[in-house]
Amino acid sequence: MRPFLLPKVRNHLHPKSATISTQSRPLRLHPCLRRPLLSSAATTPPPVLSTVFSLMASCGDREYLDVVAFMKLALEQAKIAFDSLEVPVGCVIVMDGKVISCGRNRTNETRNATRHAEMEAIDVLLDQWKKLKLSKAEVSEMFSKCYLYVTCEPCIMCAGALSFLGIKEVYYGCANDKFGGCGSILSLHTMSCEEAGGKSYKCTGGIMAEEAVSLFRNFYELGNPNAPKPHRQPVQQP
Amino acid sequence: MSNGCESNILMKYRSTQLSVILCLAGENNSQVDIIPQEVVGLIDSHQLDTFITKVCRYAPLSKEEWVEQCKLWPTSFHPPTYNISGITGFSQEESQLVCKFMKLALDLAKSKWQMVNAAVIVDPSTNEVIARTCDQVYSCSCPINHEVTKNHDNMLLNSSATEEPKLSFDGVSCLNPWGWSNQKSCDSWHPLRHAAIVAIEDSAARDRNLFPGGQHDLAEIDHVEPALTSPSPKKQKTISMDVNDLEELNSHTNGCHPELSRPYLCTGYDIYLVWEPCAMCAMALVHQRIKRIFYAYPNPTAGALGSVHRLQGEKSLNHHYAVFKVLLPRESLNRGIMSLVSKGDHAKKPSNMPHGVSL
Repeated sequence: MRPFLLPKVRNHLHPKSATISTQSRPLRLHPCLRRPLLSSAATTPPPVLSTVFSLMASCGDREYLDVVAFMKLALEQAKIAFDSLEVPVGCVIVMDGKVISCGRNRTNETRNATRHAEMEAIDVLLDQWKKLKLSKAEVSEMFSKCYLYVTCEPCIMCAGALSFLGIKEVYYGCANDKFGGCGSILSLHTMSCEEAGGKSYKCTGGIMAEEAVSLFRNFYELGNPNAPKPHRQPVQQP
Repeated sequence: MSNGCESNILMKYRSTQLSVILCLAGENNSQVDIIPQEVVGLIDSHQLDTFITKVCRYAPLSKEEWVEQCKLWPTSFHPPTYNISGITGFSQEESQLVCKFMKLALDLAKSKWQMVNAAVIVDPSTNEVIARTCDQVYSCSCPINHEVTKNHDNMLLNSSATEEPKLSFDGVSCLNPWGWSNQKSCDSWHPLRHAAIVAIEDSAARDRNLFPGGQHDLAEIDHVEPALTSPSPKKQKTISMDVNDLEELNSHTNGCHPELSRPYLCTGYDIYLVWEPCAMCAMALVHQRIKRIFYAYPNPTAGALGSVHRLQGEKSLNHHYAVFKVLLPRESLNRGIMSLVSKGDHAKKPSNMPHGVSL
């Protein structure tokens, strides 16, 4: 197999401008986000403490702050979803320490309930890589270097998809008690069929979970305008 | 009637809040002794009139029942989350339809290069085909031309050499969802475009085509505004107005398509799959609110409807479909491949399929 990451490809994937334009709104990669200041982490309420400690123990302060910084970008995507009257979930995909894709829930807009943030971000990547004429083996190799940061535990559908793609690692915000596929309902991140070529991926939850939950709470207090009529009507404010 | 009352009686109407307080009436219609003391206090202080009325003891199971019950006391209808239609058996007419749609799926699964999975979404109330697709993991064109290639000869050999048809179907994406990078394919490929996912996408596209406007415009509000501001009351007003507009729009659109009403995702629709779906597809079908799933062959490596997982039994999910396995003679698949080899064999294709998917 020829070496799959030619210098040219790498340049294209990580433009110097450090700006990733998305369909909805440019995601700015401010330098402080890549190497976050202590104060920025201090202003946000800490996630589940045990997760913080285990993370810090396993990867050190610096890496933990990086994780928080990427989760903040995912939360920004979730807020865009919220403002678009979508269930507020957002994510970013990171490779070699840089954000290479992002996505947010678009289920209402598309009337396709499978258009979750993860699926959107994955399709952005596949489009990019196909334009670069990467082969399937190369794309598979790329996914195996990708880290996903998503504000809510991937559902069973997304957890399965991430397993099929062979993603390296997933960090999520709040758990998903009803649909979660990374431990809550099923554990698809550890249950892939080895003989069929499936690989497990590491999954860490509780990163800025409170922020993710409060977005959900705000959203459901307003009422999902696209829920079927008999179930929930949008609450009208005075 | 005991369930659901509480949630229906507290309705907010802009500034005024309308509340209804319910108490069970006593045996001999006497009010005095059964109203709790706090409520009596409320009645006295606000000079409220109380009355006794008959309500139904049990929640309605069907829409017809609900209409009848509303004559006594208006309620909203919550269809049973568990589908029972078909569980008690199918009429001969129904079974014939099921076989017809499954044959359509089998026909689609016969790809140019290899067997793939195929999906047909049907509206059982009209028997209209909403979407018909097959796996697009290795190729984006739905196979219709049956060309003879050397590959087919190999496949025929494989399948006739083995008893179980599943052994020779590497191209079926739900059977081998991790193997996408090892399979040969044309330029257009996508590791996650399993037949069911593509079918959902097509049905959503159909929905947007037939019923444009509504939520689509609604969703495009203020992408440019700062993300941190929470929606203002003004925006709330827009939501409710748009919902009303949508109703109006629907009534207009219904004029153009008198037989159609705006679907909510795939509510009430059936899907026919040749192979049992994987966890990704099975969960996608939960999300899209499919009513019933029919599949022909089990998926021992990754099936999520009984083989490896059993999503229809997960209580926490917010939607549950009914799952049916359609028993086909074992040689059906092999015969399917035979027809690939004998050029121009369209005899198996049902002739009078409804044409619902002209997108």
